[in-house]
Amino acid sequence: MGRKMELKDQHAWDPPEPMAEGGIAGLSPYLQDRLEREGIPKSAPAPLPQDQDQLLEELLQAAFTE
Amino acid sequence: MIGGTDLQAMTAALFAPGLVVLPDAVNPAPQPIPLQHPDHPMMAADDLPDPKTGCIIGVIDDAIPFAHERLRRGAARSRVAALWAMDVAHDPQGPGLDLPAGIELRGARISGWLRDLERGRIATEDGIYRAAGILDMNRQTTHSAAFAAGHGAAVSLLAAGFAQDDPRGADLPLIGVNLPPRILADTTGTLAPGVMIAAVLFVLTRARRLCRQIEAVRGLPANSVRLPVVLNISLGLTAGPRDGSSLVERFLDAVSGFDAPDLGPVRIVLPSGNHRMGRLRADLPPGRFLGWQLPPDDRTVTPLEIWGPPLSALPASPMQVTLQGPGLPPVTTGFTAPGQVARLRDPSGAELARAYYTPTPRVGSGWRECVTLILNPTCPERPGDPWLTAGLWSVAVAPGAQPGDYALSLQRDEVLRGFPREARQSRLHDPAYRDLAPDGFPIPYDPAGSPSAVQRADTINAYATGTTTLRAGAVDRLSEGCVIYNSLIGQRQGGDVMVRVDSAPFDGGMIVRGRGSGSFGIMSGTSLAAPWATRWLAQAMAAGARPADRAAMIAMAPADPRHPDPILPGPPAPAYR
Repeated sequence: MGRKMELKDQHAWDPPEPMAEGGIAGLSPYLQDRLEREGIPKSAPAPLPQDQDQLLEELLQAAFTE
Repeated sequence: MIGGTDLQAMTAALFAPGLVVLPDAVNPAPQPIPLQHPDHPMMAADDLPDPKTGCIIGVIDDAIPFAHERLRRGAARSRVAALWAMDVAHDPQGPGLDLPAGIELRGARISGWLRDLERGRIATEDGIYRAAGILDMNRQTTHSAAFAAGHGAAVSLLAAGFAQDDPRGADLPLIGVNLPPRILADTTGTLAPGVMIAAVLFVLTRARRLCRQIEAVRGLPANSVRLPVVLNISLGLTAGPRDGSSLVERFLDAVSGFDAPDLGPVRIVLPSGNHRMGRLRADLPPGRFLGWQLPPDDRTVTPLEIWGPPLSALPASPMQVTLQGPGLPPVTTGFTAPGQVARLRDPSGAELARAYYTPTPRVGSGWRECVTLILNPTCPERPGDPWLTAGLWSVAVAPGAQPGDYALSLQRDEVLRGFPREARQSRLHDPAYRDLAPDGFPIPYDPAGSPSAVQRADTINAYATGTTTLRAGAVDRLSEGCVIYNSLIGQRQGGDVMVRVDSAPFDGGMIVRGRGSGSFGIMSGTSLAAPWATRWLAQAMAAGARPADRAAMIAMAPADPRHPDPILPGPPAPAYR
């Protein structure tokens, strides 16, 4: 039988820790969450740049340059 | 950091293939491919669109029926230039070796299968999907490509389907992407943004290659063929910043505003969304608690995004979020810096929820804080998995946060027909909120002065708040009023343009084409409004229109003083409904 996990009066937030998948709102929280839950290593060769302007520039180059 | 800016590097980084496709679909070594491959032409020379009057229609969706008779010229000439099927067993001999997963099908190859169909070498259209690998019942997945009347069939054929002898179809080739069933099954859409950006990259790179093929076949100068592209994305999210600052929206805006030297203008059409009445959206000042109803038997996580007011600079102290379970004391996060994750644990140490703090720059200048809460399921998927008690929880932005209204939005979390996933939709709960008036009719807009934090306003598709995309909403054919489920831009606007989708206010649905030639189904929703708008816009651009921006696209629609949001012509009324 599985353990029943319910909040009790001692439940609490752990001290926060840095996100492994950077901090791109709307993208990396969900990606990190799913990767952790499913135990799947990310197959990308390198992380995306966290600066959105730089990331957008690279995306546009990928779309319009070859 | 990405080493290069080529398609294979970017899509591999965005895509996380191991999360969304089966292992046999993963391309172990993506690599650059030649601009023109003699063994893999995009289209047969005779089937290429006219360089002056062509317009490429892009569709990113599910299970596009590429062999359908409405995507052909004559019996055996495909109008599909390229299709990326993301979750299909990878083919190392195929043309799509630059893609991180799946296969690419090109029009010339599809036409070969259509000829085999005509000659009886392939018995049925279904045989083409099996020959292409699109349909493989031995793979452990949801076989949406076998659905008689699926979302992708309806959408792609509304956008790009023409009778075989209709001359309009000749200059409107299709470039499509079949998203993985796992992406469609996850209605939270939480993994969709990266995959969707990768799909847009595919459409654009193939569109440019198609232009180069036309130049090569016709002996035209390099970069002289610049076909426009109208891209339909009948997908959406119910949570996000809704200020155009999300990565997807900024990317779509950047693509739409980019003046490529070798491709015409790109215009993008999105649905307004279907969650006006879903109780997924609220505005809340710091310190005020709001109910959050978590249903039992939910085997999936439940995400909620909380976006702070615009700030000129990031605050020294991050916003904190308080969560309270039924009968339990409130507990508040302790973020200290951007890019952090906190985990809520019970006394035994089991993890119950996560909170991510990811402040985001606004377009232009300034910042908004964001906390994404992801709660564990209320029913364990496996024995031993942690789970939450279902019931009425509550959530608040802790006092001390920057003053202003904080925008809460829940991600959609439902089960789509045909997709076996045990999701249950949670809802925000304010006792002051009312769905129905005393006479039983729905209340369509937020009443003036309503004390409810839960709202109908500002429920627009969270992909669709950028500055350039065209948002398509739905009206019913009888009253020509905005349908009750249509998400709202601001307080009352249903879309930039509207399309007749439902039959009547209480008779939802329109007749759409199914997967097999000649088949049909009945569907509803703004997902169907977008492709009709795409079709309308693509025909206009094929005829030479070049609307510079959203306002110019809206101005092309027929004006009618009775309707503040213009209703596009068609689709034809069904004869028997």
